[in-house]
Amino acid sequence: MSATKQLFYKITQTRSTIGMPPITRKNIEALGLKKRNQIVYQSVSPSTAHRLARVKELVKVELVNENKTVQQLSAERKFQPGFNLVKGEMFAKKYE
Amino acid sequence: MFGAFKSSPVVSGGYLWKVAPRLSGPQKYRLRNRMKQVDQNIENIYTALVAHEGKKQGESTGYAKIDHLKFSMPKESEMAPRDKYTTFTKHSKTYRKDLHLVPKWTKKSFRENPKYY
Repeated sequence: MSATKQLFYKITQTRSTIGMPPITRKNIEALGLKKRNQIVYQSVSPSTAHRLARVKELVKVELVNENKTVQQLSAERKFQPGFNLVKGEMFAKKYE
Repeated sequence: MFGAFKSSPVVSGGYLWKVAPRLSGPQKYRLRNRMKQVDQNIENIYTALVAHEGKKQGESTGYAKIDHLKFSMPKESEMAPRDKYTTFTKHSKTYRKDLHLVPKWTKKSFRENPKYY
């Protein structure tokens, strides 16, 4: 295992498993995918690679350096309440 | 055929035009896009796995199935139009049929032909 930079698979399900054979559906499920456009992060291992090879037509596989949990992904999407105070020259008082 | 058994659209029961005779241009375009995505997926699967195994890029991963996808399976850019848009069938006189006649053809890969075909 390379200690310099750890890679993760970022997997997006692009196609539905409806009508696909059980072996495909089970592999999609084992990757943690349930529906289209869902994103999961998986650590790199031979078993993950072989699962992805099974379902390569149904997913988009990207390589990233960080792992994200479901909680992190949902927190990123969450609406930020309140407001941000914007300061800058645009709002400075000018007396001409 | 002639007379009472003459073939006509009505006799065909309305199912005459349900199967398109050939793939359309946009269908082929989307097929190529999907094939390129599969190529990219294979590249990413291989790149991460070979790094995980502590080997250099371009080397064998030591896993036959992944190596086959990476090194033996033809890429979209390397394939001839005949292989991209048609597939082998033993029923046709030409041993080829259009991809859209295969069930679930948008969720499958058709990269390799049987030997001698």
